[in-house]
Amino acid sequence: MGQIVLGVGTSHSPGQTSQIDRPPLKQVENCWNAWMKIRSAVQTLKPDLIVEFSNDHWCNYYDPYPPLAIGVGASHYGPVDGDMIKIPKGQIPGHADFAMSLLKAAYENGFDPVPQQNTLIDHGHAIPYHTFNPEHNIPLVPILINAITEPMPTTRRLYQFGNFVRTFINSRPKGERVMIIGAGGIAHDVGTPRSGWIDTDFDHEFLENLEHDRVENINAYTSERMGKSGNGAHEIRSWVAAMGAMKGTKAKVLAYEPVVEWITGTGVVVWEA
Amino acid sequence: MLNVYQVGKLMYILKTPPGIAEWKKDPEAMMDRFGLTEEDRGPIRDKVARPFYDAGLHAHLLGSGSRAMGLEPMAKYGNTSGTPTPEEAEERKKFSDKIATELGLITQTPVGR
Ligand SMILES: [Fe+2]
Repeated sequence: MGQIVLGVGTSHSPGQTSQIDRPPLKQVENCWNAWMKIRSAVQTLKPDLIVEFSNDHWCNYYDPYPPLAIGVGASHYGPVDGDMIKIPKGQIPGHADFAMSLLKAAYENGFDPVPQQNTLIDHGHAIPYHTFNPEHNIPLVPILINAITEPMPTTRRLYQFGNFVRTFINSRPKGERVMIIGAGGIAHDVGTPRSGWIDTDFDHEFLENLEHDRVENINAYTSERMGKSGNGAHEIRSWVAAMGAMKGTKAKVLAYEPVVEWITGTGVVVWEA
Repeated sequence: MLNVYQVGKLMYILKTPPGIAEWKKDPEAMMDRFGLTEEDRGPIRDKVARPFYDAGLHAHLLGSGSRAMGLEPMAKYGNTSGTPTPEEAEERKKFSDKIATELGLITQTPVGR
């Protein structure tokens, strides 16, 4: 049977790779040492594939905007915003067999994600994927959660979906070793007059909820509550899906920094499988 | 009333290289193609994003659309937690270069967010 070998929750703000030299060194070192620790773990654990929950940023969709989609292609193209985030563009390997099986199992288990053959990868998936696997040699199954435009899926539903993904992985006869990533957030506000303000109270509370596995608190986050901490705070939905996938393991915060230059409450969490 | 759906749709296309090329070639023709009214074109001709933001256009799309159209943006991304000393600036650059090398990042100067 398949197994999850590592789970990660991380921010994916463009500044992480494009403006490494702008924030105070202390903050940057704290975050990047955590990301590099995960990169080392990936080199040691050698997962067969990465399942990454993150969100599109108006690159794949305008109308309709699906609540949940799975990139089922043999490869994906990106990052489409690579020039901005300094990550070279190109084909990123997918895992069609795993992704299509996941999709079918999802339908049999009461979830209805949209299958997507041609997925454009933007910074939302690309920054964590590239950070942990700059060689781009581990296949990526991108799961795209609408964290952009209302109405958005509930945290409760996404936790359940993440948990379903765990059950699916454990049932895989091919026995893949899978890394889970939930990417986005934490508090930030993009493209508004208050961009740069970081709701650190929201971030600390969210991270505490993860560390103490307070699922009911997580499930109680409403869209309105997340939106109050910035339009980018909606992206914690992807961490919640990862939390569902990592049910039964313990979350540990490796780093948290409210990085003004990156306009983002920047967090890094691992769940050791 | 501003038609944020159509303006947003145009800004969505402006996230792609063909969209940007089309805009550079003939903005008025592109606005015709997306059915923008005279009212919709007002802020674009005045080079301001604010009316669209107030009318409810999504801030992400408005940000990238504003850059493509040359509108005065809603957000300024020059926030900083302080000016570093020359020594700190040098240390930051060293660290940044180390990560960029390790990850094979593109090393030219970035263009905005
Ligand atoms: Fe994002």
